[in-house]
Amino acid sequence: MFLLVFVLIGVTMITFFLSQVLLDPLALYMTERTREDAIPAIIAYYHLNDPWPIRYVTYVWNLLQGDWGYSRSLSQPVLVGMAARFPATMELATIAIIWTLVAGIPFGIISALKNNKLPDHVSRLVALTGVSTPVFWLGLILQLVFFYYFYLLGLPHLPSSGRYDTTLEIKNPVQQITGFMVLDTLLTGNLVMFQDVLAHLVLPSFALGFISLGVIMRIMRSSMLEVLRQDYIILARSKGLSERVVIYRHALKNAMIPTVTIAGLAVAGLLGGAPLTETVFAWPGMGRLAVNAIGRNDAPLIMGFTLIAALILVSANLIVDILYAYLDPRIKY
Amino acid sequence: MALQRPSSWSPAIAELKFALHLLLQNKVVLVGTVISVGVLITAAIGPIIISPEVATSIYLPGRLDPPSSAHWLGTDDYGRDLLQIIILSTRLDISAALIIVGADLLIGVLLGAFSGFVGGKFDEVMMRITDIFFSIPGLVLALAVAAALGRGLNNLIVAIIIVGWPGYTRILRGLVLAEKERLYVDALRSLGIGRFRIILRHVIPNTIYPVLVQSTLDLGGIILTFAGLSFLGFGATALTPELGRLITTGQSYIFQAPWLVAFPGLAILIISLAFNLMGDGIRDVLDPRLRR
Repeated sequence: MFLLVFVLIGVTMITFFLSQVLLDPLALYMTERTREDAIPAIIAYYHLNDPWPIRYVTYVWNLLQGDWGYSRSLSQPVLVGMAARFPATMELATIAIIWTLVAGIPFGIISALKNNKLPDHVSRLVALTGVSTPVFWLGLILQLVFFYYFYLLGLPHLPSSGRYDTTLEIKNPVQQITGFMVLDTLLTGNLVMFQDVLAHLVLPSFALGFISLGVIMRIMRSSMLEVLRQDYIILARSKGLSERVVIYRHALKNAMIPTVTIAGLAVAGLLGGAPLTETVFAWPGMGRLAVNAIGRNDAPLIMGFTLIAALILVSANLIVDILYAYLDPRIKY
Repeated sequence: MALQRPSSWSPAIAELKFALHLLLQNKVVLVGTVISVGVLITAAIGPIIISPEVATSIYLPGRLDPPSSAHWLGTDDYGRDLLQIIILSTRLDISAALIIVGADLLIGVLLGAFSGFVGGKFDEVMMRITDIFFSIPGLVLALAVAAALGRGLNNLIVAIIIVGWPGYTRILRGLVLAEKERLYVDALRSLGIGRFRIILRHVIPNTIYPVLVQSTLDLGGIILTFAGLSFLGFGATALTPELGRLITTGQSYIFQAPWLVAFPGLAILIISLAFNLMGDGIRDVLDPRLRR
């Protein structure tokens, strides 16, 4: 908890430095309709002419109050704009991490068991291709193949952009409950839209998760190899336990520990991939918002996105730490 | 049994020869290394074999030609030969990546070595600073820094440098913590050799290998980050040959002229993959636990 607060202080220092020292601090709090004569009042209210420690404290105080500045490109306060797009980003990232874990862990185990045999080489190649693929390019190629070429060939094709089909939505309106469209459509029993939403998720979540897949596979493999060399595994085998029991009952849980840590780090990769993936797939999330903000010199929005990304990452790591203690009872905090 | 003359190679060279031997045994790594070297050579001689002025000049009648025997990879929306443009682009992407990794290594290694060796408050502060950097996703931080610095190639490079060093600092600091307990460090100290000299001349050379390996592994990722941010509109201007930028342009013609997206991206993939294969292999070779 202490670390969390500390890290957030550090992150706000960085965004403070970037937005208030390198850029025009006034821009954070001005709209295009701000009157000239209001500027001195803004300067006084936000202590913009004061020494920087006071400005920093004011800045953090305002952040805590929910005043994250005003976004010119959205004509909305930053926090309001971010909140509206938060579920879209989280939904995409959640689906991406789920499929990478579901696919990555078994493949990692297989390639550890078949160390230096064909499955291992294949998994190595997949993993390295994953970390070497530009996610934005992968997104475009997926669109080209699964949307355009499938469409040309008359095959059932996947949607290339957006979160749902807007014309379909008019007939089957989705009630906003959680903001996560998969959940919302399920909760309201709107199966037509549920299918549509899932179809829209396939390509972007595949592109986004593809980078992390390799990382998770490789870590799972190496930690499994490490664990299989331990004395207690030799003991388990010499007791005559079947290979299945040895691997799934004895080895897996310990081998999962590093993978869980990496899954926490993979959240960083997903958040980093979000601006690129969301731009390519016209996904209405925070990342795309931040990218659009660049073109319009909308610094408050970019800093807002940076802060939220840091918040998500720090919370993910906190969850990882808790899971860690659960997986390995030797670890006590 | 005849007495064998002891190897006249110093242990470091002998170790290097052994590592090279192991490296050459692994076919995948060999392929990665060959491609990496090939890419580096292409990047270096690109402007010599292709005249940049002619290759980048605009010829609208031949725009968006599909791949043919005259233009192996087709032409772009300005009628430029895509293959030549890609070759010219690699130079920018590769040199940017090398500059970024070099600068990060320099910063990271120095800070990490001093942090580990000096310890105490300095170490504590350094580690907390790296914590902060690790708590922001790399690409997001680079995006924020680049946005604050303003557009432009140099600003983009600076932004990615700022994001990258903490990783090396962490690795080296950990290694130095163990290394400084070694007997030779005490011996050097007792000889009255200064702290800076011990760190720079003895501790860093003894601990730097894992960091160097990590840096070859990072090269691929940095090329991706650079191309990615360039794709989003930072860095090079529209007409500068740069791989990420080529994809941005190609995006508008994706269904009409898919080669404009496919080939530059494939080039990024191949370059990044080659560096990753090489780095992955080098790490396996240098990691004694995996050397079986």
